[in-house]
This record gives sequence, structure tokens and C-alpha cells, in this order.
Amino acid sequence: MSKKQHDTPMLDQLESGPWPSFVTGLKRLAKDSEYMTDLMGQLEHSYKTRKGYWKGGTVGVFGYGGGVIPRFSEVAEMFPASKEFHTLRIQPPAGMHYNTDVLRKMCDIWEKHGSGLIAFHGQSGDIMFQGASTANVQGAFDELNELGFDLGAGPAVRTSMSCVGAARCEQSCYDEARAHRQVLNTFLDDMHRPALPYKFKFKFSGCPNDCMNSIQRADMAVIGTWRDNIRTDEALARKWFDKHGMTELVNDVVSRCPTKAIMLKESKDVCRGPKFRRWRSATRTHWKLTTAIACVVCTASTS
Amino acid sequence: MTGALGTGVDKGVTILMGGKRTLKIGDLMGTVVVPFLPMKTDEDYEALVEIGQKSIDFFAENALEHERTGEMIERIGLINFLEGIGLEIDPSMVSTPRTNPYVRTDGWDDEVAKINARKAAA
Repeated sequence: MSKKQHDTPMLDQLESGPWPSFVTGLKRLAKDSEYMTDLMGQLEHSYKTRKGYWKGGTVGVFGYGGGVIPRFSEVAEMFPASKEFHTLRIQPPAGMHYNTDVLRKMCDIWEKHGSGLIAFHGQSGDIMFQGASTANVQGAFDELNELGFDLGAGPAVRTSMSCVGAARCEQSCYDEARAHRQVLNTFLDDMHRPALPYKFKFKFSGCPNDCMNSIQRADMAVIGTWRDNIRTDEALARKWFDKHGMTELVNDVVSRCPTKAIMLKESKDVCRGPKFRRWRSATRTHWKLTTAIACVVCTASTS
Repeated sequence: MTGALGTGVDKGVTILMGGKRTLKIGDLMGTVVVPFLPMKTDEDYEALVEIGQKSIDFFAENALEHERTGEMIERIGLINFLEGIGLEIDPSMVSTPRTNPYVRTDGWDDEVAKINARKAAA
């Protein structure tokens, strides 16, 4: 069933070193697949000659004007099995929530219709199903569609991404998944029947940490924020301080705040009421906080 | 400091436009066009879609072939872009103050009245 593997010394070299390599995955697929065997051959050839041998074309599914990246090989005589290696770009769920059942079904579908190689996710957010012949693209898409997924990323409006956000993260400032789906679903027509001068990308991050890197990657970036005061939890702050200490507090927290919202003060300089208790032992002065106060207090002991 | 520092209560979104990656004129970061939009009710989410719709319509009409939104904003100017989308221009959007000390003062009183009216309304 599988043909003899090509000699790939340069690809093999990538497998050495401390980190895992994509080459190991390719080899695993290539053991039972002529398609992947020839793909590795073409990749090795490209590494040797330092040229790419893929050219584009027009490949799609019925009714859509985009969503499939066509790749036709220019060295098909040398590597006939992988002469067409198209990629389907599928929109991920908002917040990228999956269960193992869906993932297994995707793997099965792709092994049946394509190469078995899937990338989660591309830079734009799409799940990349890499490696199908022109004839198989429609069949693969139909099965993925039945699962509930749609093609993404045509030449105009692109697939968007939203962070996990409201589902799991305490920093989330709005319902990113809802905003993502509500905005993108309104523009599905512009995605599948492209009519814009160029690409347009939306990205949704739940807080200023901007895990989706929307400020740099999106034409319209929606970043969660708040306009009143920051909230603090004294007990958790002390727990953090006990674990991380003063150096990290100063260099990694206080000095990194872009708006200088946090100030470091000695505990004796912080206003206090009857909620504080102070006592001396042989070695130092102890402070005991009996109720939460409104600011993060440096707990360095003052002697 | 997870949990020790957390968000405020009056939460919403900031909208930035014009980010792009390297081709042609290099990387651009998005510029803030809406500093704050609350995101609690259905109407709030619809307002977000509205802004997206206006941006895409404006982009479709005014961008050159193969030109990103950020490149278009650099070409036509942020003021024209914001007027085209129907968003308010805020003094905080000025990236560097003018270095020329001379300024025209005709229309000064009108502009002062306008800004005071906006501050009163906010």
C-alpha cells in the first residue's frame, strides 16, 4: 500500500534537538500514504534547491467564492502522488471550544478525503485541513458541513478569532463569543461571495491582555476594557506576595502597569483604622490585617 | 496577580481599527476609534455590528484594489475615515500636538461652545 520513502536527510535533521518536530508527524502519516510520502519528497527537494514548487489556481466548493487555498505542484513528474495539495480553511467555534468527539470526527473525515494533516489554527483563526486533491474538496466540505462547520476566509472578510474569555477567564469584560458570532454571521455573505477590495479581519479579545493580538492583526479590533476603578482582593494579594516576593512585585507588576495605577507604600504610610493590630516580638514588628482594605499594601515588615 | 487584581465593574469594549501585518507599508497597530462602548444589552451588541457594517461599506467604496484598511486610513487621513464611518473625533486621538505655535482664531468661540456642549452632554 505504501511506496518506498524518499531519502530526506535535511528533513531528518530537523527531528534532532530538544523540541518536537512537524517532520515526525509527517513521517507517521507517510508510512501508510503515498500522498504524504511524495509530499515529503517535494519538501526535501525544495529544501535542497531553495525554491518553492507550488502554484495557485482556482479551487472551490459549490456556491462559494473562496475558502480553499489551491496548491498545484510544479514538479509533479518527480512526485506524482502529491500533485494537488489544497487546503480547506474552516471557521473554528468562537472561543475555540471543542470536545474530543468533534475532533475525532474531523480526523476521520480528513483521513478519508485528504492527507490527514490538520493545523489548529492558522494565523487568521481557521482550522487548516491541509492536503486534498481537487476532486475530493467538495466531498470533504460536505461532511464537515454536516458536522456543523462552515468554510471561512475567502479573499474578503476573513475568519475571526475570539478568546476563551467569558467561558473561563475572570478578566473577561464582555461576551466575546457572542460578539464574534453576531458580527461575523452578519457578514457571512461578504465572506463567501467576496466583493471587497482586499481582506478585512475582525478580532475579539476579552480584556487588554489581548490574547488574540487583535491590535496588531485586525482591521477592526474589539478589546474588552472597563472605565471605573480596578478591583483588588487583599487575601489573594497577600498569598501572591508570600509566593513571589518583593522583587517580582516591583519589577513585574508595579513597574509594568502602563498607566502607573499601582503604587508601592510602606504599611506605616497607608491610612488605617481600628482594623489593624500591631504587636512586637523579639525579632520584628508584626502587622495583622483583620479586615480587607481597599488597596494592595506592601507587606514588608518595618522594624 | 490572578484574582488579586481584577477588572472593574463598568465593563465594555474599546474598538481599534487599521491593524495590519508587514506587506507594502510595514506593520501597523490599530488606532482607537471608539474609546468605550458598554456591552451589556442586545442593543449594545447590535451597535457593534453597526460599526462593523459601516466600516466594511466605507472600505468597499473607498479603498483601492489590494489596499488594507490601515493603508487607506494613512492615505485619506483619520479624520476623513471617522467622518465616513460616523464616529466622533476626540481630542485624545491626536498622536502628536502641533509644533507650530501660530493658530487661527476665527471660529474659536464656536469650537469652544461645541466642546463645552459635548462635555455637558457626556
